[in-house]
Amino acid sequence: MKKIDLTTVAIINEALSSIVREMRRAMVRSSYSSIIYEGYDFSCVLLNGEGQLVAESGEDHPFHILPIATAIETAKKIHSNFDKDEMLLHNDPYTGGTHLNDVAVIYPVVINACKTFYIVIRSHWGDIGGMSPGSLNGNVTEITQEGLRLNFLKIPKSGKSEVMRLIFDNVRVTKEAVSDFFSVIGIIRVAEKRLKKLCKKYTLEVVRNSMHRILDMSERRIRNSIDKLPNGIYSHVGYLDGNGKTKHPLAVKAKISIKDDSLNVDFSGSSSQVEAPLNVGPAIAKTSVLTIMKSFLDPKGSITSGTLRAIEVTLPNNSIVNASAPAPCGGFNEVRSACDSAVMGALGKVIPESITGEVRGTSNHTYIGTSDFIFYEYPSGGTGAWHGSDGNVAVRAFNEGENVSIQSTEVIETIFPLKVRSSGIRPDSGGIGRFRGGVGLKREIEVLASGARLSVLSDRNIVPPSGVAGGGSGAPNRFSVIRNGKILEISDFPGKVGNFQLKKFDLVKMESSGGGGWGCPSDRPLKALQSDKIQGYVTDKGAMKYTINMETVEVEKCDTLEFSQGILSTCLANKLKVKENDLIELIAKDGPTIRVWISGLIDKMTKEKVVIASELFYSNEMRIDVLHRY
Amino acid sequence: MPKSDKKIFVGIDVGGTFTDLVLYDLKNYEFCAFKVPSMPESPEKAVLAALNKAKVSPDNLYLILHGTTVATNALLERKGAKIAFFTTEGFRDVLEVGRTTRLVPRTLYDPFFKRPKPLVSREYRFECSETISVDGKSEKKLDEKQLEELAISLAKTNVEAVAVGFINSYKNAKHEIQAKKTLSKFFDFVSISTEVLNEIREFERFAACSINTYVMPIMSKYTEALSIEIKRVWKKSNFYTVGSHGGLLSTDAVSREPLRTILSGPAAGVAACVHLAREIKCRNVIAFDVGGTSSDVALIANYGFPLKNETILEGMVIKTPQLDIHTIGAGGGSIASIDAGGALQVGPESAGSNPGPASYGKGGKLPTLTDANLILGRLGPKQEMGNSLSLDEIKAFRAMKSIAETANLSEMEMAEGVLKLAVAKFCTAVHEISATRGFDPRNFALMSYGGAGPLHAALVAVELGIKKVIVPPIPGAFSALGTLCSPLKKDLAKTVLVELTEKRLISVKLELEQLAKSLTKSFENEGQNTSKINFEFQFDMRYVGQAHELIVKVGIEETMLNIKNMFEKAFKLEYGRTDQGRNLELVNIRVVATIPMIYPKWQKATFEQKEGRVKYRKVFSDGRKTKVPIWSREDISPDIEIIGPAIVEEMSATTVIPKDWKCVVGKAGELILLQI
Repeated sequence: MKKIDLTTVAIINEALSSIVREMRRAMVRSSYSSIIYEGYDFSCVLLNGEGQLVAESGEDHPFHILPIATAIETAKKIHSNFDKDEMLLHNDPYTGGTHLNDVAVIYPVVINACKTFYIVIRSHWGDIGGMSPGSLNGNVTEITQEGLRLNFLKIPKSGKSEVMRLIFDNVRVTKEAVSDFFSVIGIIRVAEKRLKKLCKKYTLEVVRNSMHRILDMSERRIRNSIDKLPNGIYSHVGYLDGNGKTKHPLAVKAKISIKDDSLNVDFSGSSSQVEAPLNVGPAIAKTSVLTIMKSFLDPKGSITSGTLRAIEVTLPNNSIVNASAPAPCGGFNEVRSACDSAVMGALGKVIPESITGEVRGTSNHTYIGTSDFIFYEYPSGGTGAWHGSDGNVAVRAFNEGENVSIQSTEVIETIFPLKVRSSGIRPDSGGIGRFRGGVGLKREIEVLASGARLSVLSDRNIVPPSGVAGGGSGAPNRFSVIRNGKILEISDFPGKVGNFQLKKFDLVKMESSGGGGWGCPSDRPLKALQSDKIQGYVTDKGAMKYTINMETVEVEKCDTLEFSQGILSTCLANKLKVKENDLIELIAKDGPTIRVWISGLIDKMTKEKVVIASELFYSNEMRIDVLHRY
Repeated sequence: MPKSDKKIFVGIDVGGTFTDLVLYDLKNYEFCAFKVPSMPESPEKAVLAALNKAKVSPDNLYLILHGTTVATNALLERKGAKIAFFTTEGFRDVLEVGRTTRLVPRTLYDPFFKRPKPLVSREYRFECSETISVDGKSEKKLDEKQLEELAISLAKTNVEAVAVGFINSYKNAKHEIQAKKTLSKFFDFVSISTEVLNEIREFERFAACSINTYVMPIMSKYTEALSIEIKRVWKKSNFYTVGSHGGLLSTDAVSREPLRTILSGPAAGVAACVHLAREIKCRNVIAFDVGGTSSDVALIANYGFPLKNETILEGMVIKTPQLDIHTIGAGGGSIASIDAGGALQVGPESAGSNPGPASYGKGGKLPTLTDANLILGRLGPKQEMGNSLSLDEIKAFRAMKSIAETANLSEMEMAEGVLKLAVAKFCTAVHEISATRGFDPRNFALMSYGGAGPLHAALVAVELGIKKVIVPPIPGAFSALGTLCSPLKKDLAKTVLVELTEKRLISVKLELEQLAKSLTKSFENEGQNTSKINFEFQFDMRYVGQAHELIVKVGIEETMLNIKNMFEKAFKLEYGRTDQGRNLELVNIRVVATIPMIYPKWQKATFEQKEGRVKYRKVFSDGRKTKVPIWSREDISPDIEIIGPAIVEEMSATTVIPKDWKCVVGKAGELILLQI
């Protein structure tokens, strides 16, 4: 192999990312769907001839681009080969997709009879069939209700085929879908030309070898970061609320093994797959691991398959992190967030001083509408605090793209029969701590039309974003309707609202979660707390939480308990006024926070004591707080 | 300079490191340039120092024009005034929350991203009892008593300036105007949102208003100090400041709307490009300005100013009319490094002006692009940079060695790699403003200026297939020169937000005329002669259902069909398609009024010519050292054709002419580099 100089590699790297950025811009330019040209719900990447991810734009949603890294390998299991005039369509979660609405076009670039690159554009289709317009629905129980599964379908590169006719006949908003599909092909062709030009200029061999070097360099870079962590095994759990039909809570368990410069994360023990759209296929957990590792260890590095080489993931079959048919996967972002929680928590045992409190852990899809209009928002929450700084007031977090999550009041009032009564911060929602979690949002929207309905697909309305290193939880997401000054019951299960009938002048209140805090609250400097009160991020009542000494309890481990369970001594339960099934958290002063649902009380224990699963055990002295009473 | 009947115009550009001054003699068409170090602590002193250095007789100096970053720096360094903000009940946090976006590039994957602080902390944001409904009705009167009480107690604090932004005020500014009246009793600096940006979308409008208020006292003090001194010494001269839109603002306008100067940094350079392009009849040019920490590129098609109306700046949005200039984090001071994976990087980290590149000898230890150019012989050792420092080759080599060793290369090879990667980045930037927006860069000439523009321009041109590079006279002070090429400019907008119909167009025309009248009046209030006033009319339009608008220039009597065609043409260029059959929505209407000044005539300019000797230097390129002739720019007479490889040096910049290129002098004194 000819040795390629450093500069050539850097220049080819620059050229490849420039090609991706151009595709990205062209997508916005030429797309017909507002979710693309305004919501940026798409991504473009380049793979080399072996199907390894070599270039991305640095601006895409991590969960969009990472799953593509395994696409070619998986496709080859289905098609031993495909023709140079063919490309592939894919959206199937079980073989590496996200949810069905995200359709990837995988286009091989053939140079000298050899597949040299694959250009991939994954974009969110406004509709992919299924039981309801838009295809995503919180009430589905199996994937067929969410639309069409496209499992590496062979399509001619022209895009014209019987298969496409079948697809377009089975999705809503067909006109947009057809136009967008053909613009994607147009954009890919432009990229193909640039790639061919690049190979002509530098020769195929140089480009190919440079891509290998790019992969090696990013692998070295991430391994270098992992190597700095102490070897060991660290476990933690992330939770989802689930919905009325599933078990509550749903859990994602991550066991991280660090050995020198390699990392293995085992998700065994995560909840079994559910008949609700709270499952993901095999690509998502790995995406989560990489997102968290890269963000905390090397945020400036690029993402390639080289980065992924340093990370191995073990997934249990038929679980919410590796579901099989027919488990629906619409809410993949909720599960991904739970994976993030688990991995961050485990890292919190290794480098608590470098971990932040959690963010909201859900998309917060909120729809108000009639047959005449649909108002749609997905309010962001406050972000987690870290050693050195409070979290940010509601803003897109480090693991999300830059899409706008709330609309302008003046625009809303102009185009919808709605009046925004207030839009501001949600005081006291930031997790307490030496550094406080960022506060969430509170928006009050008055409905001026009759016959409107409210639908909400949110999670983490029960299990709030947790703090770290002694910090407290943020307030959970909360959605409510106020009619004549009274708060109404809008659903059986918090955060899952289906077509609630609104009346004219009802007030819809959206409250997003605050971020988790960092460090012991009593260590918060008085000056900072006073400033919080003056600013109004914390009320007088909220400030009391900083001064009240939380109960410190003895923690014991038990091999037979499930990790979401905790047994309390009756005296402690009485003192905290909690009963079975209530949710409590145990706060370690130098590590992650452990959440357990009370599964039993024991009279015999005279001390104030909590028993938890051995695997989760972190310290035998922890502070205790009550998160939710049922 | 002896007393005479000369008429002198002066253009000044206050940069981060240097303050440049260009002097233009209207009668003899002569230019000359001066440079003094900037004084960030008291920028007006640098301006006065430059004026003093130029030694212009007060009897001859008629016009002083200047570009400044005083407001920009105050904003970026958060050194503005202590301000308070008054808004509608329920909306105290609009300024802090925005649309929940980070508004800082390259922050995805950064868990420790700290949102830039709001300009007004929450305790100084107050809610007023008032309601303007969405249709512009005053539903609840402004509680002026409550406001006055608040103002009284605030006046006792150290709050210097106050801002007002009410929901739906763009529909009816009555309450804001009332509030201003009340607040003006207690504060010298009051700014209301509709006077700064009279458009729908409260966050953008409030942000504009709060930024304006934040920089108002500092800007006011600065321009006042400067204009008093100018009036005292140069009695005959008028004084103007360049705005973000590439036009000139009066001192009065700057004091009221200092926001308009925040993005003015690179605007004057683009104005100069447009002016020079017209003069040399080159209708399509790409402006390429390489500075110390960053580079600016802009596309000028058919002599048109590239327009946009939104910039994201450190957690804020600035939504006033501005020039579309794309900035990348690569410049002469960009640091070269090798990362933990072994990959070569150039920028975005920069050595800035302090300590600056290693070769500046001011303590910089890290290798930069400037150091690479010096090592390669493209910049001359001991070459004077702006008459204030000379480059130290040994220090450059030493710095480059630190990464060359890691890469197992010689310093020369490493330097060449750094140069090539930087050029690749410049190419990407040019590609992004041209090819990705539907313009083929090969149909453009590259107009390069800034200290390091001409040094890299030809290499960029070669990569992109551009066949012509233009290096204007005095490239290092081109922005200062640009101030002399700008008209007086004001604009006024109004949100209409309607579906565009024939009928509606009639009332829009009346509204445009109204806006034009207000602008004329506003110029007259400043004492300007409005006999040569020019109006440009702009519509911010979109398809019904879209969220973003395009700016379309229209005539006052434009037909509906023409407007539709123009919009769709612009849409197609921007988005590569049209949505025929969808209706159009008119969001904002805007009138831009300009009053032309007397501009320099470069064609007639004479540049002093000397007979010098061509020197030679070894330049390293593609693994080989070649002896290359070094010309002094003032030695190149119009009959000389220089064949590359060659280098042209002048006080403010160095131009590199590669192999297979030639260089001639154009009519306006510009260097024209052409591919052979």
